[in-house]
Amino acid sequence: MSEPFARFTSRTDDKDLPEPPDGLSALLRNVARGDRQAFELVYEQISAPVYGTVLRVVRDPAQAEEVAQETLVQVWREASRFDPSRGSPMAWVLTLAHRRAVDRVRSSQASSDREQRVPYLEREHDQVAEEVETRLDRERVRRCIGGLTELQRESVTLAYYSGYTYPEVAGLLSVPLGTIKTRMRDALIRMRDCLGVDR
Amino acid sequence: MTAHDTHGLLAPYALDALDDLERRRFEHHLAECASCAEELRGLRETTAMLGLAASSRPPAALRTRVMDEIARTRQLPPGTGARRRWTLPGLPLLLTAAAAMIAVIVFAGYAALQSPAPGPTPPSDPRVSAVLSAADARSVDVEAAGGTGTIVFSRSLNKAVITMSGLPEVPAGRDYELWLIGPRKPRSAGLMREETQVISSVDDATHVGVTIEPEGGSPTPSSAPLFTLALPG
Repeated sequence: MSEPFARFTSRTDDKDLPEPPDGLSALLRNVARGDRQAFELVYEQISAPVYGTVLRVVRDPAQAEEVAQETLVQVWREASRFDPSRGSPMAWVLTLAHRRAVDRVRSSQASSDREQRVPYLEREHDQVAEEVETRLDRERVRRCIGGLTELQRESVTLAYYSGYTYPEVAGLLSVPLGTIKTRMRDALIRMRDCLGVDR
Repeated sequence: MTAHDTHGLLAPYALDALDDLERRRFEHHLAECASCAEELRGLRETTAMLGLAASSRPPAALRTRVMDEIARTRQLPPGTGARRRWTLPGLPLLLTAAAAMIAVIVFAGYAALQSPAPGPTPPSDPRVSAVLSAADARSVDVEAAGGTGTIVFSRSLNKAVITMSGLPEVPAGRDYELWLIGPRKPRSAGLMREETQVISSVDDATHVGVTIEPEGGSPTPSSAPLFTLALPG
């Protein structure tokens, strides 16, 4: 997977792109037919993004493994429901993973635990293992995050990486709810355009 | 919730920054809003990039556990004709879900990522909307009998909405029946032939139960409940 973005960043026209035979969409079609070998190839491509996404939110490696396992099995179980014309496979998978991670921290962690997750934010960009195949992704994302205002950046990272609700983010940043919603939207649109332009 | 308010929730929704109840309300709106779904898709691709950038190789033991588990995990059949799982699919879809799990409930999950198929949108049930948007609505997630779902309850409306998916196929000639359970005898709350069901006249009931009954339902439950759930709130 030398250039994962190639299959991943397009927003509206994925379905028009020719896909390599080892592409995730094609593999998922085979997985939907019960092809376990195809699932192993899918696992190769998605396990690190899934685990990393979940770990970032959940923090605890043991719990992150559990949530990652649930997500990966869900991908197997629901592969037939993935439709490549309606979004990229990686976005589908990571949406499942992130949702599960957020649900886990909200249901299982007391508020005191959640407070403890805040200081980790500062280490966000440093603590992740430097895996070759994701370095490019990370650098690109980091650059696009760097193009955001501080409030935009914090509102997105507190929500996505720490799993806070937008009212919690508003409280942490001491800004009105309406402002947070707007900043989140501005930030995502700006990042979307930033990431898309470079594709 | 006005349309303007709802639109403002797109980005928080894409970031999973809504609480359970607001998430469900928003997904209810999404089912009717094609332009929301299209914009959401772009935002989801972006948030997924945040996840991709966090990639971290999991311990090798995870692979073994996952492969073991999928070997004994039944897969979902294709969603034949039911491209929009967060709307209110009818009986056939529920039944073809067979014994498989649908971990993504009707209103939730990746369905929101997937933009809707072109064509007319089935109108959502205004009684469902009323409960979901009630000021005192409380929700609780459900994982029972092989299915997953949510109950949202509004004391002021005296109504609840139950959404379940992934329940095992009901045997031929049988129906799932909902029961209101409280200090009095269980009262029928209707058949569960769709994934989403409105339960009226909750009154003094504290729990909702589901049994398998002869087709058309029974006046009193004839079998032990598959599961009972405490009403939230």
